[in-house]
Amino acid sequence: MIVTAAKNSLSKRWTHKMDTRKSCQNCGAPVAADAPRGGCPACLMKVAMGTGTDADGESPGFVPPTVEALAAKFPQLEIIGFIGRGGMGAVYKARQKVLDRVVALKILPPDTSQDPAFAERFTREARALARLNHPGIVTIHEFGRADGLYFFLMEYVDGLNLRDLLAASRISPHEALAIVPQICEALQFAHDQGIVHRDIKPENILLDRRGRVKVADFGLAKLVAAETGPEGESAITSAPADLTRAGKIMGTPNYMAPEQKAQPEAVDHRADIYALGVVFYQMLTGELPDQKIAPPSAKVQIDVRLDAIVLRALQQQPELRYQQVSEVRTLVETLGAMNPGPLAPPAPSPPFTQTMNTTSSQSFRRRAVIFIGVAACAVITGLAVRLLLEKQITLGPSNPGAEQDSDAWWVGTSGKGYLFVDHTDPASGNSDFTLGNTNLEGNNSVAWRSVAFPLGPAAAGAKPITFSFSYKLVDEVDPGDNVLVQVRFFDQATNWISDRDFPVGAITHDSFMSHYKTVTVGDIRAPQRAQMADVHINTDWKGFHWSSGNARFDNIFVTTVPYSLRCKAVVITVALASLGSLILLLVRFWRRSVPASAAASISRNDSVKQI
Amino acid sequence: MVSKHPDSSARPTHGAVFATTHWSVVLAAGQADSTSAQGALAHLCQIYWYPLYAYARRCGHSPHDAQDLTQEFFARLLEGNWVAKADQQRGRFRSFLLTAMKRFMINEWKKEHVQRRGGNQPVLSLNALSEDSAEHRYQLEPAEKDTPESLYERGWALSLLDSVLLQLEQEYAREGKTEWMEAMRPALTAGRDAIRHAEIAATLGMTETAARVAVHRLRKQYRRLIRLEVAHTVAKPEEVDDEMRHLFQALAGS
Repeated sequence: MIVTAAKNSLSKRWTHKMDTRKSCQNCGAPVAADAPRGGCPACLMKVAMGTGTDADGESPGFVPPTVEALAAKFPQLEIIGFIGRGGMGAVYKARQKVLDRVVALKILPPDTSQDPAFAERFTREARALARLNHPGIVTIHEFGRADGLYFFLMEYVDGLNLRDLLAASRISPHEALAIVPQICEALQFAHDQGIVHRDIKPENILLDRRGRVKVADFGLAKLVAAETGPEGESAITSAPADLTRAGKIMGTPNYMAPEQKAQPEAVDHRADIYALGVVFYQMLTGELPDQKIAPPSAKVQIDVRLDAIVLRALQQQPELRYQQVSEVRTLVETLGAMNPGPLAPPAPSPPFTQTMNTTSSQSFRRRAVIFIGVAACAVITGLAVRLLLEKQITLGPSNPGAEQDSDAWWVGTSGKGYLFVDHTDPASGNSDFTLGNTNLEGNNSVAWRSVAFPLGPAAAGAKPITFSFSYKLVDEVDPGDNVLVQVRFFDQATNWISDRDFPVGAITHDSFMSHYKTVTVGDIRAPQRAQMADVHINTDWKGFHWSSGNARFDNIFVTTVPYSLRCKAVVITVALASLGSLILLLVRFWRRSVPASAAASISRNDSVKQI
Repeated sequence: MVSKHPDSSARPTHGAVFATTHWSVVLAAGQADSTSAQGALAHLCQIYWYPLYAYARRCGHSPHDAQDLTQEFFARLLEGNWVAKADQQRGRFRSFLLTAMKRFMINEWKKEHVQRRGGNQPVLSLNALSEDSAEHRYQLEPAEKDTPESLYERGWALSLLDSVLLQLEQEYAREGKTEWMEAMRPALTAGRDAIRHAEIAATLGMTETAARVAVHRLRKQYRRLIRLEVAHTVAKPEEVDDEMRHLFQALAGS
């Protein structure tokens, strides 16, 4: 029986691709003939390990109820599954049995609902939300309290949020320009009703399967306009102002307008415009704006006119910003319509590309030579770079001078690799522990994480890499056991960058039990400080939870390209230089013979393309 | 001032879910020869038999003997109660299977083999494994530098990936989205910034943002399935991450 099934699956799965041999488009390694479904196994596994936008990292505090526990509280719903958690609760996918409608059930942390000011805030938020009926805003169907648990039943948005999208990969300016007007439209609608979102951030901007925007979580909405009714005025000027504080940070610091931090109660819709500016900035550059805001075009290649829009939205003074979010929408849409292609400026060598419009045979020859020259340069440069970078990186000692290779040759660029926290019991070699909750650069439940590290001379390029981690050792640690925790480095191709491990520290069961402050760190190089905290002796397992402080590696740099490669690099550089000069000479020679009319047409074309 | 909410759900949900993974069911069943445990074990064997075949081959057995051996091993495994002898505290299916196979090869197989050649009918059909494809696949394995063990580990990881990808394909096919799966397949091996969303969008006739959403969902689902599949082979939920790393290392450089 088994074996028959195995036979079937075997012949079905393996026979059709026996003879395909190609290389992985991602890592370049040859894909073995028995690769699963034709995919490079190492890359498949790397993606499977993930670095986590969808890893379910747990933060301390509120533990969302299980699906079973919720089902008991909501008999009218079929709880389908857990979607995620945010600052204001947890969200589940559910089905309203009677209506046969899929909805999102948002429940608020039970702790919050003990707060006496909460009932009022909750009702207010819910009513404000319920007023907002707009395709760009997540609709609220119902709200209330069930078995002590505050909840909203909301429209279920089948998609993902902008945070996930940004974390998954960079988005193009073109896409940003498709998304922003939709956010503007939804916000303007809310502002017209006197409702300020107050917590615009990527997590609250959802995108459905068709790429349409839905703004969620007007959870901090505050009724600001008195025009809602004759009683409105007193409601505004008295009690509700303070409700927005209620001892919590209402809003997300990175996206919060300066006036919102200073005087939360005085905030108006222009705080949303500021937050939108931050989101826009992040979409364009992949980064949050610094204290001193650099124009987006200084960071990425985009149309400089976007700078003006973003920077004005980010003005510190509300009165200097756009006064209505619809203004942002109009400007962005205009810019998007004028330039339907990607909003990047023209390729860096416009004089060359513009010549594509000339028609003489001379220019055709010129074009051909230039094209071949540029292509050759590109290929050779690519090869050279590949030669220089390919698996040649090794990690220098974190203690400069100690083991430094005097023959080290510095590569003046930067690279990216992976930190991998490993752990063994040196006595037995047993690594059969669970290493969980490791936070390397952000919140992540897996034990490895990509990290950029600088390449270059220690003096100039080396910067410390700082990361924090905590982990749980489960079950296998007995009194007397000693667990060594190490950090290793991978390059992108999954090779160890260094054959040396960087010990982070060793913990023993005994030292741990005698209150973890005495735990010694194996190597002074890393971490420089380690603080033990938060120990649980959990009844479920015999292990313990060690939460370290930060590990810090100073002067991490990447060194050592073999001598032979250096020679090659010199040869290639010389070859490149001479090829470049040759092309320049050719261009000059041909350009002299281009008729004036062709030159004029070139410059006309230039001006057209520069729009 | 605020007391902790006395919710019975203080523990994360995966504990409950985990109780039904295959290997944990098998382990929980222990000596009791329950049907669900048999089914769970059968399911596992179906996915992971090839690595054992490769192991036997690399240990020096001929294709015919290796087929015999693997088959006999599974027959004995499924009818016997070897599982009861597995260290229920920490065992993983991967290690259990290899250890059991080693024991079997040393102690039991020889005499069994001789007996069976005497004319006894094998429990399972011999044709099943004599299909050339197993041997064909074995011939494609990396050259001799691999030990039988490392070959087993690698074959294990490949079988697991294959099984997960097949499930993923079937899920998409059920929704009539085979075309989506095919268009997005490169996104399962690509680094984050190397995914060609525009290309996928063009192929599937959707906006780029919609393609991003689709790719994100695919990758998320893929990760979920692979964690689930790994969970099927370990005894405790805490072991999943570690087993994932083990697989990662087994495949690095393959």
